[in-house]
Amino acid sequence: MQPYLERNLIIDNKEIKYKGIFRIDEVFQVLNRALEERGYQLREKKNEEMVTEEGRKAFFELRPYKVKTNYVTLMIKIKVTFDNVTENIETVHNIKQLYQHGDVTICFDAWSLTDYANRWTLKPWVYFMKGIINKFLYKFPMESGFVGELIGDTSYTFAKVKAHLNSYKIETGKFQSEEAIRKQMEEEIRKETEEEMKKDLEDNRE
Amino acid sequence: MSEKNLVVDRLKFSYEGLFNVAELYNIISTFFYDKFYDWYEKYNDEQITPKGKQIYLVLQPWKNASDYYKLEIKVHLIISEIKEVEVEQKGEIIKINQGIIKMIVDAYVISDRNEKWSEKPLYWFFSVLADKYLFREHYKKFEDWVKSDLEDLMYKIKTYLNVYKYNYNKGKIEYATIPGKKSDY
Repeated sequence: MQPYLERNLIIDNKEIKYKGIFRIDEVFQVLNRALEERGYQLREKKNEEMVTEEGRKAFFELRPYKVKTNYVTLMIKIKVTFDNVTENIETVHNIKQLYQHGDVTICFDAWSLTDYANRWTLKPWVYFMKGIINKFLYKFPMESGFVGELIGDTSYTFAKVKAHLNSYKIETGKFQSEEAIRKQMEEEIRKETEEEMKKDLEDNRE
Repeated sequence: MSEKNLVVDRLKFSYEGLFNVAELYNIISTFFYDKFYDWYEKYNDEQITPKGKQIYLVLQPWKNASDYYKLEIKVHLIISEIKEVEVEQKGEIIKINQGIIKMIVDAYVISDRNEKWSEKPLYWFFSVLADKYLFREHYKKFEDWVKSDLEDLMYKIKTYLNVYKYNYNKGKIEYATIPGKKSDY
């Protein structure tokens, strides 16, 4: 990929946090598929891994990109962190499978990379005027369209990965619907109030 | 002067845990030997500090891919805080290293490796035109080649260290097909 002069951050640190079981290869598969559906070229930038007694910590930085024109490229920077990863065997649909267990954090940054300076390099006046017009007066439909596309692509990938991570809870029967959580909360509040009432009664007796 | 095109820019990998330094070095050198690269160790520095041994290596193996193109992979390997530890495996005590590995890799495609087309300005002009317009697709093949070699190297190292891997080619949906019959999808 060629170097670009102008880099605009369109989406800053859109984050998915998940705790529970998952499969790393499946998470990457879903991520890759979503990106490829949107026409992105996959690229890995960084990979770090630390092995400790509590579990593994792995960090991946991916930078998939899509070349739109000779002067415009869209890039999504995805930072994936797996923390305290241990391996567990879980039974799903009566089949025993190896899963990873731990904390997952996925951050999405979306960048629009342009190189208008290079294009207009011989005409500084044109480059300057274009910058002014673009910023304050009128955004050319093609350029604004690219930004919209980038936002759409990032949201699509984000939604796919999030839905996939949530699906693990359903698969293993650990998924809690909103109603179930509400009931659980009600139960906890009821217990707490009963305990408080008991304490008050005991205090009054004394 | 020949043109040096940067294909992979500072691909980073790091690992902290148990490994064997000699085995790691062996994996890297064997890989390049198997892929017909000429070995070139540009820099080798070893220091013994209170925290442990520190090794800094710069490897720059290269391969002549055609009469015109040359592939080069530059590996910066920094292994720090190396300590020797004893680990029990299947009832046996084995000696192994513990430390931090940091690796930064660049990959290049070098065109006009013999510098034949840079002797005269006119030659150089023709070579630029040819590179840019006539042999663009041809050049891309070499780019893919060096990328694929690098992917293989990283895969080998990651497999040896048993780390979680990010695979590029798993995104495609693969449907089952009967051999010799076209898929319905």
